[in-house]
Amino acid sequence: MSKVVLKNIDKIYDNGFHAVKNLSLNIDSQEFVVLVGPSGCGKTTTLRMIAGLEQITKGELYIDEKLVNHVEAKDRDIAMVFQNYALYPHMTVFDNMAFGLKMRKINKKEIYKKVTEIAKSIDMESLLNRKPHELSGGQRQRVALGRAIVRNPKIFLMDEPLSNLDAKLRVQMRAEIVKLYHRLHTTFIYVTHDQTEAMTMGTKIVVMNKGYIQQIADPQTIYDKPANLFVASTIGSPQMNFIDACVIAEGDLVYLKFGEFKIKISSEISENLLKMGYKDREVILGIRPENIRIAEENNCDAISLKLELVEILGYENILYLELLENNIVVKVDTRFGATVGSYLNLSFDVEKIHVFDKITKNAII
Amino acid sequence: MSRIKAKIMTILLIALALMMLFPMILTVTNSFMGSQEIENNYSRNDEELDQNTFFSMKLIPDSVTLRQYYDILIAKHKFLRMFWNSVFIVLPIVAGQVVISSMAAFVFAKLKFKGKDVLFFIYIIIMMMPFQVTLVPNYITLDKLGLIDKYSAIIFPGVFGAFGVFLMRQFMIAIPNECIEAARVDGCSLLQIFFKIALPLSKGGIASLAILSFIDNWNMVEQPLIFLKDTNKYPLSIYLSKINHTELGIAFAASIIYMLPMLLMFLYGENYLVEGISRSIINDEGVDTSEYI
Repeated sequence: MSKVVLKNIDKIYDNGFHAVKNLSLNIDSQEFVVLVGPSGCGKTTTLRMIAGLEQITKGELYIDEKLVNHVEAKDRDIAMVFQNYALYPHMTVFDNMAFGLKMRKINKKEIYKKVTEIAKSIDMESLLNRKPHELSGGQRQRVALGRAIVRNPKIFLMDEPLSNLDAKLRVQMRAEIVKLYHRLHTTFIYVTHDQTEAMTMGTKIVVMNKGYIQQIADPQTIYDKPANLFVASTIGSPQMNFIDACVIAEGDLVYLKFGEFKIKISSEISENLLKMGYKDREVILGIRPENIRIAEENNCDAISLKLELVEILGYENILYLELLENNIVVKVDTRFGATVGSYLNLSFDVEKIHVFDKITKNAII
Repeated sequence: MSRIKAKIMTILLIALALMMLFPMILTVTNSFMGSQEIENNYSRNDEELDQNTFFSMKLIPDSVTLRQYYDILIAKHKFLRMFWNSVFIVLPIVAGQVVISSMAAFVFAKLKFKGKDVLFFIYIIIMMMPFQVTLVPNYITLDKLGLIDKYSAIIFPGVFGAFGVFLMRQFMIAIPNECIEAARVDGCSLLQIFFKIALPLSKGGIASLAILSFIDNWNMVEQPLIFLKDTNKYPLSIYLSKINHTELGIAFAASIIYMLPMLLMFLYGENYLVEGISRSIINDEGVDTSEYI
């Protein structure tokens, strides 16, 4: 039940690498915060600073309103699950789980009770006497989770805990961690590079890139209203389509023109664009694959593009169409059938269009 | 064709193995010979030496006897005393080296502090220096400390040897940093991490260091000769090197008893020893994988 506040945090490593830049973040009690971003974006460094495993170069870190910059990891009452589980190889499952409690001088009877209870809940009761090398990847991950839970910490920190598991087990463990979060109702801070994990698990997502926070919001907001081009391209699979376009006004109507095509945009968006002085300026148009539809042949707003490739996923089809030497990706129903090489009419859902500034890459609307 | 090749290879290897084993076999079989038989086989006058005549080496004793063993273990007190001298010198060195080296190695492997690399570089340099190079400064230091002619003159420099630190560091570097970090999060202090995580995970290293250190120190000759004046304090290694023709009759049995502890150590920790030797080779693993604690 803990609040974590990071104020203007900077991390510069000894080799001069500036990993985290002026990071400010409020994590409320009982939130499931996911830090997501590509490798080297500073998400793991941020987590490690919260854990106390990495020194903070500049800024302040508060846990429950207490400044903890110089508080040892052991005194922060946190538990951490590592990417490669970090189980103690020379100890049994029981000892691995009991270790943190032993260090806190809890009596043996209570340790036994707690460990067996948690082991039961994570389905590891029968394997308590095994050593880590005798366990499968999934079982090891469960033990790592059990080791964290048994301590009943104020904050759970997880550093890409599922990335070493195979796809099937990952989905299963993902659900287990979410269930665990609902059961324990404590603060979770989770690091991943997988946008699906971020979207499915977090109550709040923090998208990071090159040491900077790009956006902090709940999953739906991140998806619907990405703050910039980076967030728009990171969240969503397949990623959002981006097209270089020009804002043109013809009478009362505003269009986004690219190549020989132009699409009419909604009055609300066009009003904003004109107000912000984007008339006749280059912008980046963004549209998610599911917001493009195959249009009727007589639709005058539709654009006609050549079908390059069809990916059949079973539950939907992904179409790749040629547009100005690039591809545009469209998600369609499995019933849709078209042959590669044929031309398709596409219409964009104008309400779902995103427009980004060409220079700052920030979302305009 | 390949079968013939394999056969030739096998014969060649057997011949090489026998060549390697010959001194050992000779020592074992000759240790069961009587003193007279050994005298007859190996003693000759100086004229013969000038003519370069060879010893008459015999593998099978004329009559098998345990007389040599009786002589050294029961009749001659000197041998046993020197055996125990060796034990009194070697065991503290091994024990001390294990403790000191593992602690220093943990610091070098898993902690980050200013000047660590320079300090470790100095350690490596010291390790590479032959004993003879540091002989004079060592002697002066020990003399100033008033330790000459005491066992501690041999034990202290042995305990703080650089090789043990280097070897244990190689083992400790291999401990995943995440394990150490998990222990920190679990509530361990630095000392607890060392005793509860690093040390149990370096068992192999400790065993191989103990064995290598034992073998190395059991065979030491120069240090006792230089730092000890009282010949009664000499270890067995010196006794063997000084056996002359008057004691030739017991030389083989003495050699067997001398190598017995080493042989037992080797048989006990053969796997650790191999691992220890392979880890003591500088490789990429040894280059800055340390983490800040």
